[in-house]
Amino acid sequence: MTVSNLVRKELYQMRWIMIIGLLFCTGLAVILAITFNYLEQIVEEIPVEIMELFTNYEVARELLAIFGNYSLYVWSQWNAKNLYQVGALFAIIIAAIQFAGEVSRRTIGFYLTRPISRWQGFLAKAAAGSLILLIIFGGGTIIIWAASIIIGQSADWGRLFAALVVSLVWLNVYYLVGCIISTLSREPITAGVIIGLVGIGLSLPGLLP
Amino acid sequence: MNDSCLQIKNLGKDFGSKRTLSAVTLSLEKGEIMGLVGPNGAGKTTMIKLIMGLLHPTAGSIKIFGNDRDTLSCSEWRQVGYIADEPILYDFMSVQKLINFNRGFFPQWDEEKCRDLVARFNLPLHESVKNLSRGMTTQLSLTLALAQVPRLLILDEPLDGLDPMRRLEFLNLILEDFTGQDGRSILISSHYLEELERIVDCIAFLHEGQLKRVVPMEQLKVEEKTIRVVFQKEPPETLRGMPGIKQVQKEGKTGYLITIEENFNAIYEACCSFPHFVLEIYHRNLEDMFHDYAGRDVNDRV
Repeated sequence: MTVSNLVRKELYQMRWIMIIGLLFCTGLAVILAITFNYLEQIVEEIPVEIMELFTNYEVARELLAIFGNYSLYVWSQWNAKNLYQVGALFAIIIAAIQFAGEVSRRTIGFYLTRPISRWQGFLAKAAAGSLILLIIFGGGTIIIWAASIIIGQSADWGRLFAALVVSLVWLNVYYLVGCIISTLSREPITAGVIIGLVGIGLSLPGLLP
Repeated sequence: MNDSCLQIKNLGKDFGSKRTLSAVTLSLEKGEIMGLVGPNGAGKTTMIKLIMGLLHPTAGSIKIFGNDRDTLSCSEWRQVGYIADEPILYDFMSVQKLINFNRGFFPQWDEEKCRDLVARFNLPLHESVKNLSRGMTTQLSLTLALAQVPRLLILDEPLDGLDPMRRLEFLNLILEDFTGQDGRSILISSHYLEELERIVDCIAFLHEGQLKRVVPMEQLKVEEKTIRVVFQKEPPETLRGMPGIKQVQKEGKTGYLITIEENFNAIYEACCSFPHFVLEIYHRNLEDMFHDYAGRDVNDRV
């Protein structure tokens, strides 16, 4: 009862982040789906001699493959790009305001003097943030799926939703790290900068050849 | 059987090299209302934050309902009500939402009392908490604290920001709620000594992080008296040397304030035996004692 009460409070407090996030992801998802047909058309209109020139380059070959396969297009533009980049941004914002936000607004005293254990307090904030990330990015993925049906494109949705689960797991791990950092900071901006730097640190291995 | 609601032993708190609280030992019995007084910076809020677990002590121990504060279960914490010195509540909620949120933590929540207090304070249920005045925020905090029916209520400067009428109402409400309720205790810190004097059973003087004295109000009222006397001629030197005189303060040329701890009758008779214009006896109040412990120099800061 206590934790669910706390989770409800967190969801209510962060409702605008959730609404803005969902609107942003809906916009991205719709744009992503409807631009595929235009991009596909542009690729088809490229003259053969220029296309042959393009195919000499690895990057161009990859781009042509993406624009020729809707599943690959959705994965590359949504799962591999937006979910990680925009997702990380939202994870930073939500985590930074959790504990550091309570401290800076001076409501931490009220929060901690409720009859809850520190563990319950942390769990509630962690659960609420995870739920918001799921709603924003799960919702965004469902919008792409719906938009794809409307524009008449089919994709390997089983694999794409599986990729969503993997992305959400990563986002949640990053978010939890952010929550821990937030407990150590007194200012959300400081917490956000540290969480961002940790995110950059975590992404460095991905840049290695 | 342990009858203490709150036991503090050798409590100390350092902030860096600054010692804010030093070896404070006190005990709040069940059913007792204790006032905590001291000048600004005496360590009252620090002590209360330590009790509430918002700060970690550098030394000493705190027991609530006989159990160590750090190992207190959530069900025991539910029996502790608290109003902070700055009652900052969730300003993104409406009054009603905040009440609903708080209700969820306390199975013993008294809904009827909550409704009664909301009506009594005329709290606007649908108004956002951020639009409430300081006084109303304090009243909302009190509503939340009393509706949870705590066995121990800890109030840190709850009267600040309230006008005299509201202060009186606030204290009456606490008295009404706690009088005759066996085993329910209050620790209240305040600078409003006159008002505090009306409700507390005992008083703890804190000064520069040290507990100077804990004294029951009954004892305070009978043990120390002050005689104001204005002599017709030069005041008698022999009077000053009499046993039982705690302090002699000069008022004007021949006026004196004589504070007596004991041997009252003999000193009174001695005063009467000298020609005088004025001779009056009055009980010392909390403010007098406050000045004794805190020093006259802090008067302006309080």
